Amino acid sequence: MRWTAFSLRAQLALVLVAAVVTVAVAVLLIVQLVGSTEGLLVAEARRQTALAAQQLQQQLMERLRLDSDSPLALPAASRQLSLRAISETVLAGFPAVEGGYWLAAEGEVAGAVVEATGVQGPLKDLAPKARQTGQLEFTEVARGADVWVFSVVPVESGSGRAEVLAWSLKRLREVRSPGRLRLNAYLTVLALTSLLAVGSTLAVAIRLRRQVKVTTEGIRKLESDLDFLFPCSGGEFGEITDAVNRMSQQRKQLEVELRRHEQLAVLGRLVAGVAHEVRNPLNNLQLTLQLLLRNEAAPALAEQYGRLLKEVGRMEEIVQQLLSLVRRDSGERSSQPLAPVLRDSIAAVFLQSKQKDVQVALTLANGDKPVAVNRAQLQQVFVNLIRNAVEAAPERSSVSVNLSHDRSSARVSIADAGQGVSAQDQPQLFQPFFSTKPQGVGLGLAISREIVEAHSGRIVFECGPEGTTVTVSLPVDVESQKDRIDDC
Amino acid sequence: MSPLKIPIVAVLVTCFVSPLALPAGDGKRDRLTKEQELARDLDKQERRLQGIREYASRSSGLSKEVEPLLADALRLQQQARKTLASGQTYVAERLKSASKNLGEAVEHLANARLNLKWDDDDGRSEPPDQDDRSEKDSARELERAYFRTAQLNFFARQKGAAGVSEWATLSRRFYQEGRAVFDKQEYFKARQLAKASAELSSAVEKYLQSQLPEELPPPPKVNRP
Repeated sequence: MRWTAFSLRAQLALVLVAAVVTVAVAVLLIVQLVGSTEGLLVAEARRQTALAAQQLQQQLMERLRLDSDSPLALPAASRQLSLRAISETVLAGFPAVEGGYWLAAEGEVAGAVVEATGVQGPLKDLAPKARQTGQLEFTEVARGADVWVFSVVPVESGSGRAEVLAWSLKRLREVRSPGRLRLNAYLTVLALTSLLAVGSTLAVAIRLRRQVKVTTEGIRKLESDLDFLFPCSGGEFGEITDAVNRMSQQRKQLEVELRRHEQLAVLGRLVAGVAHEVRNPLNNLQLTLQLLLRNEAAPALAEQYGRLLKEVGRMEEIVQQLLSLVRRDSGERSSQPLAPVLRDSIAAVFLQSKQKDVQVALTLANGDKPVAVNRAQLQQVFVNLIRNAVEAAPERSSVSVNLSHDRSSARVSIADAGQGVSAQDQPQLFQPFFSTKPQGVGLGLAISREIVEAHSGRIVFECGPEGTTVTVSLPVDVESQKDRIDDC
Repeated sequence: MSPLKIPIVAVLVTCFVSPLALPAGDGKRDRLTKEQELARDLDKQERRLQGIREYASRSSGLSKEVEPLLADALRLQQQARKTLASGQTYVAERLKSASKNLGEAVEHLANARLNLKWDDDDGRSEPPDQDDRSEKDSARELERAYFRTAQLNFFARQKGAAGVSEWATLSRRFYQEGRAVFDKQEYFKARQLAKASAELSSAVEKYLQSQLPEELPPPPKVNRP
């Protein structure tokens, strides 16, 4: 079975169990190792001191056996010289081992190689036992952090109970408390860091598991609910959910766009059919009405024919608008300045503006750079927008048309001081057949956006308390600009 | 009590009760006895040294080799007599012992060189027998000599050691020589040289003890229940 076959939860549980077991075994091993180290040290010290004491015993016994001149019968100074000579010679072969002889009758040390005092007490306790058993005896004495290992063996002098004992000592430095405390501190730190590691692993595992669950559920929701957004969260998973949110929003926009294009496609087919079927009868109707109007002498009927002609003209206009809407391409373009187009557009709505006494003023902020456009289409856009502004503007107010440029685009802003559009209606302003005007068809803004986007531009609607501003951005004709600079 | 028993009781009383009733003896009487014994030992030892010198004179080379040691031994004898006369019994006794060790070292050296065994009782010498040629005994003597020569390092640091450094040197040399002849399976020679080495080390030790500040001897050991 492959590792990847296990679930994330199982893998994390396995890692956690392995970590806990490893830590536990490590701590046990360390404790055992330390314990056995101390045991080994003491055992080695026992072995060394036993050998040293036995050699001290043997050398003195041989001396007593072979030499008629016993050093034990000499005055203290001479005895010390002889015994010290034996002790030093024997202990030269035992590094860090001290030793000498214990005179039982006097209860004192003789011929000792000792670096410090403090051996009397333990020897007083141990010597009687060795004398009683006649054998090698050990004792371990704790001195703070140190352990002193003593070996004592009686020296047989052939006169009953031994009067002299050979002894040796090894001082094991710092094998007790401080070392153990230090070790305990190390073990505590090890245990804490291990717990921290295990806790962190657990926390990461839980968090990972939870976030995987949240992400999985979120993606499942997203399948059925396109408006679903992941809640904001930090970290790596936050980045993932943010990316999913962005992707979801883009998808939503694309779907809206797609839906609009589908609508337009359907509309295009419908309009093409309607236009084909409706335009000919409308033309016949228009010609007939014009003929009737020309021959009609009665003023009342002439007025009726005139009204009918106007309505037929309006129907013709609607058909034209529908055809403009479904025509995707922007037609033939030429590089030209926008100011003349804007002036013509303002002139086209002159009568309406005059009726409401609304001043339409054109301002050029920073010159007039050429833009590659289809003049007729673009004029249709500006006429639509300026007419809307004039209609929305209060009487005796003004509409400002401002043309500005930056390095990459030309911007035309048309602002009025009207009441604007409600927030509810704003998202639908550019939808076909949506209009806030009672007699409106709802195609003007939809057509305008199609034309602007066909010119790779953008149209933005801003509505505030001081009125409404519609801005059209169009890319400037860079090649033409370059040519003009080169010409200069 | 029958008349026959009276002398027996008297004898028993004389034997067992009198010593207990009498005073243990004053220190002056004991010291005089010990000094006398020591003086007698010195006389005896001087005669023995003379015998050893005669024994060593069988070989002119040997005679030259041992002469300095014999001279030192006799010098120690004289020092012992002087210190004895001044009442330093213990020092005299140590000097006498050191002198004895030197004499024995010369005796063993002569035995090794002449391949003979000298008997100081009658002054005769004879070839070593099978027991004297024991490998095991030779090895044991060498082992003992080795340990004694190892002690010379300690003795060399003591006060007065400079005066007897020649003995220490000879002790080590005899050990090395003994070790070499042991490898050649000359076990009698090896044993005698090892003994000579050990005796010289012992002489050093006793001489150094004689140089220590005088102390009173320890009290006699009496077994108590």
